[in-house]
Amino acid sequence: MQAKLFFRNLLSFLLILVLLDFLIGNALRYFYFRIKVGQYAETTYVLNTVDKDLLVFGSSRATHNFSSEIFEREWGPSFYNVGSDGQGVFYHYAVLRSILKKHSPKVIILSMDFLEFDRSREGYDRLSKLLPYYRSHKEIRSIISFKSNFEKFKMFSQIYPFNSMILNIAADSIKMTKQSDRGYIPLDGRWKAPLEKKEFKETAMDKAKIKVYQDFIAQAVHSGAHVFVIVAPYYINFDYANSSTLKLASLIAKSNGAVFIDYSQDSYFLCHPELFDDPYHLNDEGAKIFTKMVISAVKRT
Amino acid sequence: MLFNSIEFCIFFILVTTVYFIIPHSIRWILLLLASCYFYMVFVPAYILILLVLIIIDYFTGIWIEDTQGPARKTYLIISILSTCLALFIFKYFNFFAANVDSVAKFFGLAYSIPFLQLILPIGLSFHTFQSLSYVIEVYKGRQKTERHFGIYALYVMFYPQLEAGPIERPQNLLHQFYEKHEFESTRVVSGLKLILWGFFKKLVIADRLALYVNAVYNNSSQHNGLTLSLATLFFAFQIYCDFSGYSDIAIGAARVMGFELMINFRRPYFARSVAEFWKRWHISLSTWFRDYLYIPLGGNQVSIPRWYLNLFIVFLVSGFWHGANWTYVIWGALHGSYLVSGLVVDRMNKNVFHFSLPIAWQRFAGYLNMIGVFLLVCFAWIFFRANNLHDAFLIINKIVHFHGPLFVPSLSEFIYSIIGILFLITAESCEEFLPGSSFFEDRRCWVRYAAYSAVILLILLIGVFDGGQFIYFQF
Repeated sequence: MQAKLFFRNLLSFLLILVLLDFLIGNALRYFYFRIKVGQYAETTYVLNTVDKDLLVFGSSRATHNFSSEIFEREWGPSFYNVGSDGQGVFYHYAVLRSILKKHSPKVIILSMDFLEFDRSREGYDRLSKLLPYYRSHKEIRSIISFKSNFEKFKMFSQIYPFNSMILNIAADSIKMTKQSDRGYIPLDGRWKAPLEKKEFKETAMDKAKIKVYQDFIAQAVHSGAHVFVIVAPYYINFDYANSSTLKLASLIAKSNGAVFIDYSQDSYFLCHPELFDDPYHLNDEGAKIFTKMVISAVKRT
Repeated sequence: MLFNSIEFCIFFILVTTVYFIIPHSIRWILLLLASCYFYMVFVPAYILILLVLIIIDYFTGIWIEDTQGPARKTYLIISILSTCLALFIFKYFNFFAANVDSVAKFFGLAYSIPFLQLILPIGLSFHTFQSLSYVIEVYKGRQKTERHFGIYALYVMFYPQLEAGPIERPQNLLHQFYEKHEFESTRVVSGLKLILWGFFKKLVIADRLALYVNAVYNNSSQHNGLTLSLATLFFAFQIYCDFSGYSDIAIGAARVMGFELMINFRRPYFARSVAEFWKRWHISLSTWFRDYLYIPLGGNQVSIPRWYLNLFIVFLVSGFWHGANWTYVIWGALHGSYLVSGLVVDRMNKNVFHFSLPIAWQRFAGYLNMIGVFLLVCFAWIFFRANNLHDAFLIINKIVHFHGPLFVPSLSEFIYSIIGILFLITAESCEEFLPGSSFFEDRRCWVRYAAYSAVILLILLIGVFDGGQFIYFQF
């Protein structure tokens, strides 16, 4: 009798909870997809609409290092930076799959980091950014499942895809966020510290990330695009002549018909700290110079 | 297996359901198998270490009871030494080797001990202390030997408290495995509420604060005093919510099945003295040290200087128990010093002031003490959280030279952190100052339901689902 009452109460509580989850989750969904500025609007545009000829993929080293102004001037208006701060190869691959479903770009640039295949959880966890699109974009589900085997069960909740987004949704809805310039976010700092010499420490590589990187290159090349894998400059004097990550990335790129260009230790940038915002990101001035270099390399090929 | 994982939710529902379905006589087998599986999810081979310790303590317990004379003490020593040996090898060997190396270098000797490439078994310090308490209690004659091997193994391995306590005593836990627990809805609801509150503390507060604390403490040289002060304050809440959240889930999970584990935390940041803080923080460990170290050292039944020394030793050992690093030792020493200083000041006050303050003033002084104790505890947390001694002193130096703008990597993250802390302070203040005012315990059904729903929705909205493991697992 006691158990019967308990389960009856539990069931009614769960029903209330499901109803609240449905209402709040759908309200968040409604506002999320109405946002016109900010990172979420950017992701929605990139996954649903982008139809440009030249696309730049990558992390913050894509969004801050490839200047739109220079692309516009040297390449033409058909350009978009589809990179996203803090994201890794899983995210780039998911975005690529979504784009290729409806459009074939002519040139694809993938900005590469020397820790791209690092065995950290962050690259997996940050896939949360794609959860709002889980239902509408079947092609990205298998990539989101890298995050955890239970993701499809968690998605029963309507709120879960918008976890930790409520304040940003509110801020972007009232347009508190600055809009990017076709995906490019210029930085205005000027690095002053002297060149740091760092000993390069090789960490264990993540096989899943390597496989996804390989798939990215293969599918991008297969779509008919000219594919460039580019390592942007650092203001750090790394001793990574033996970096197996970059060696492997270069090998995979070349064997799949892509071009690999490494600017990480470019002597020009190593002599000009004022072109950096911090040791990992160029400022707007640096990004313009670097983008010119990249476009001339693309045109040469 | 992590409590804050979907795997645990499935595991818990399955084990609890089967527990209430099967006959009482075989429930211990289910719990033991479930506990083994729970432990083996991390490093399966490490169950063998646990098994060896269980076998040693099981038999020494029997021999102690069955033997008369000095041999009893020999068996006790065998048990204590083997447990300590396991702890030493897995937890302290590399620390010992590093220090021998440093001392040798200091004297210009080319002498070094090779490091062991071992991963510390999760919760080793907890279950070894639980085993020790059993053997000591049997030796003291306060506990009858457990002759059922399976039940004894379950006492050491009971999954809710296997990885981070509460460190149970045999008198409290062992007999509960023999009692038949019927499905009792009031108790089940009470357990589920605790689990829910534990998840809230862990996912909404601890893991959210960890993002800021880790970003600052792992790059302490690049941050200013204001940022480091805030990170330290956040860490105070993070570690409390992380560990007490774990304890709540453990106690709640056990309670649903009918087991009562000891309370581990009682709103420690409301303590008005450091002594009171330790009566509210990690109670199962504080009482363990009180019973098995402080009292055998003579407790307060000795001369005053010796009493102070006893207290200091206990906290020094407690610091060392937490981790093989000088930062933990200093953390323990600081708490020992706080406690001894508190006693000295108390005695001086009693000798100097022979009148009592009006009640309003006493209350005001109590609040001031509360803030003072919190600040002292926060200061000690710097050593607990810093990656090494150099970082700890650098952080203190920067905090003293307090200047510069506050580091806020993401405003939304920052606001979520503040929301979590405010929610916690409000809930705990209600419990502390208005007992029985908790929304979870309200007589009106709709208020309770609204409170449960609010907590669950907050977890879904702003909880961190990709957070890491519990801080105390490493001990």
